[in-house]
Amino acid sequence: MPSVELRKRVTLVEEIFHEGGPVAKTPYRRAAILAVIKNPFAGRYVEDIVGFSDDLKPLGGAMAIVPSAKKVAGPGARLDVPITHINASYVRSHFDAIEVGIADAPRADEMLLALAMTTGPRVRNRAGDLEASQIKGLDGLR
Amino acid sequence: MKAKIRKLVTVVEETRLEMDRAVEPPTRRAAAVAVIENPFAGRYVEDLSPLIDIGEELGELLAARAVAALGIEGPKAESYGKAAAVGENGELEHAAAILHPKLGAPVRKVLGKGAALIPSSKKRGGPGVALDVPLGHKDAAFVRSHFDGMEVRIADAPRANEIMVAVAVTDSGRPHPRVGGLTKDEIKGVDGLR
Repeated sequence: MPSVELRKRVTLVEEIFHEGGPVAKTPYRRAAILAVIKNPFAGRYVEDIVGFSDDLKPLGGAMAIVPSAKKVAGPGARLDVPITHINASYVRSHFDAIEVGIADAPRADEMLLALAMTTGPRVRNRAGDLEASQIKGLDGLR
Repeated sequence: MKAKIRKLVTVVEETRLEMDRAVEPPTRRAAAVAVIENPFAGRYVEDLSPLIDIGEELGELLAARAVAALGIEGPKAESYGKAAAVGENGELEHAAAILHPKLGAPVRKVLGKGAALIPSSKKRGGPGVALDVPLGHKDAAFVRSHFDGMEVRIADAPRANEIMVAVAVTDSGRPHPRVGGLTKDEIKGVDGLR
């Protein structure tokens, strides 16, 4: 399998104090790291591509599925990265997303990869249901 | 409170060739999008239950329209997703109130099943903002061939006092899936994951 050729890396941290309502005691923080890599399969059809994802094997012991989105796009494309709680997908206060993008990426033979993480629930979340304190942590869902 | 709908948009994408290779049958995905007035724009309101009810109303409306756009019966749908973009004068939590408490049940009713979490994204943005609706298999979230996303945008929405709400449905996974993992033939469909 081809090795990963990194052209550029971008990190982004958003710190959110309020959403128009009361100011949160602790600001909510969302971070994303973006990597612009060469697409070793650009421009041709390749059957066996699985090995290329070995460099992205997950770390740590988080239980929930990592939510994802993907698209084919040109330089400057904006990407909404979906976000959920790391141990229980149904924690409603943690459903979120962060928009990211890089003016000069992805070029035609590149891929833009993004990974996002946050420090907690949305600011002033009040949509009810499962909270982080109620997680059972057995199935990755609740 | 009923949704005050300014506009409904339906998009169908059909992919017939990917890297010059025929996709047979073509993969198809549809998104139905509603542009509604945000009743709480410009002020902080603690109780969001009117938006929660609007979520229920839109879940049924948008899922039905997306399925109709594909020309299939609800149970033939394979993956789904939801997303909302709140206009400038709204709050991210307004999107949460629409998407999470009640929107899912009527979507699942239209599709017959839907054991899996409906993947979602949300943001605040101006008119023409691009909204990426994440997609996952409706009965088993780990079906790898069906992880996808669909970008939708409307040139004149959301205005500052509006919310744009999207439900996307497919009758297929990605074109030429070949990254292994759980396939749709192996779905147990009990826990929503596998």
